[in-house]
Amino acid sequence: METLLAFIVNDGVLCLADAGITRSIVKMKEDEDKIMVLEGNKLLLSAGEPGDRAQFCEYIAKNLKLYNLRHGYSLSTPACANFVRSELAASIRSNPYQVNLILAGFDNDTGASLFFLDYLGSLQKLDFACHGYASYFLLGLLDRHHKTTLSAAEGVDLMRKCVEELQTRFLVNGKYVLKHISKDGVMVIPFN
Amino acid sequence: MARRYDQRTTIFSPEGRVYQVEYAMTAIRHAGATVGILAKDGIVLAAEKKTTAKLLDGSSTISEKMFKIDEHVVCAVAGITSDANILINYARLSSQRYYYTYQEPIPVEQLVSQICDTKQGYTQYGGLRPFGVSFLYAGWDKHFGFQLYQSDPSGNFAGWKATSIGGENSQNAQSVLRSKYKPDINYKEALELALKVLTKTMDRSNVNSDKLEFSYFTKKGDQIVYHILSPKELDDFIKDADLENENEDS
Repeated sequence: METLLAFIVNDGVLCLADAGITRSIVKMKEDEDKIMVLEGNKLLLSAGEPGDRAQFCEYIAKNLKLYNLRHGYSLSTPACANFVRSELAASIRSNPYQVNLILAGFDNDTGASLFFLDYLGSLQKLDFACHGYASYFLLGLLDRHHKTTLSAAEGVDLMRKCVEELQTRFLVNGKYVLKHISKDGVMVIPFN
Repeated sequence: MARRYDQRTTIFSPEGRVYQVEYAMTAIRHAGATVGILAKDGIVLAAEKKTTAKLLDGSSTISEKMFKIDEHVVCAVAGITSDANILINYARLSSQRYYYTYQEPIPVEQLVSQICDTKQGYTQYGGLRPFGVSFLYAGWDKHFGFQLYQSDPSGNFAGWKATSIGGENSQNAQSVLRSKYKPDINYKEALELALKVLTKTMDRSNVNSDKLEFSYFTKKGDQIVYHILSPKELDDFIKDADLENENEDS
């Protein structure tokens, strides 16, 4: 049950992704990190076909690196989100990537931001975002409990509440990875 | 045999020069002078108009040498205007392409560098001749604030605090700028300095709105404002500045 979940808290963004790779009825591994760190200030969460995920995320990461080398500064999170969207939109009619994404980042001038992207090339700026079957259960829960003024600690508690809900309702359960991004960079929060 | 290395844009002479590029730079000297001054709260671009005929209908286009490329970048031209039009068209396209991809305005230096890549191409891949234009670009971006760049036909560019292109007396202009420029100048003082520079390079009797173009960039709050002085504004401005000049002299 692939799950991507992220929401804004008062000092940054909390990002949660499941850690499982499954094929048919088989669990291949349960320590996959689906949250890629880009340029030290952005997190790219990806779900979908594992090969496409690896290929597409690398492609984005290397293009951001190239931009940085060429110009001496990095793309902002909104600019990066639009770049990713344009790449997905360009590929959808030729060689589609089966990837759904959430992009979270912290920029010094504009603060934290969070973007929801899907493989069809849609882009939404949101306060909380969720991909996969988890969204059926979690969007309502987040509507009720999420505020952008939550502290990071309260945010982690809300993440636990979300995962508890998933464990109640999902047929099978696995492990998760939780990362927090703020002005101080990326922090991995022990979760399982 | 002196013309042996003149004919093509793409080959060096034995002394290591590319003549066509140097000729292009000479062509620019025949154009009217254009001055750019970076101020702490904006940028001023000012130019001398060369083509003023009595019967020319100037009402259709206010500006002859200043072109808006995007909301945050403008450029002033010295050289062959028809060559410039091609590059300006390309600059506008580049700017919108960047916006299409990133939904953010293009940083000024990236735009300048892209146009210069095109210019450089014609000194190497062999068109018939290089672009006979120098540009002054004035712009604002979130990375480096207000910026002033100059580019030439060889495809070189650099950032400046104050500079001039074109004009037979560009040495004069440069030396006035060197002695009078202060880094904490504001854009209103920069307008006056630009006028001072241009009056030094051209016939004093010609200093009026028929022969000059003035424009400036500044910020009002978060908004970037670009303004081209209308003939009336310009004449009023020249009148006020002249009075002050006389006071200075006395």
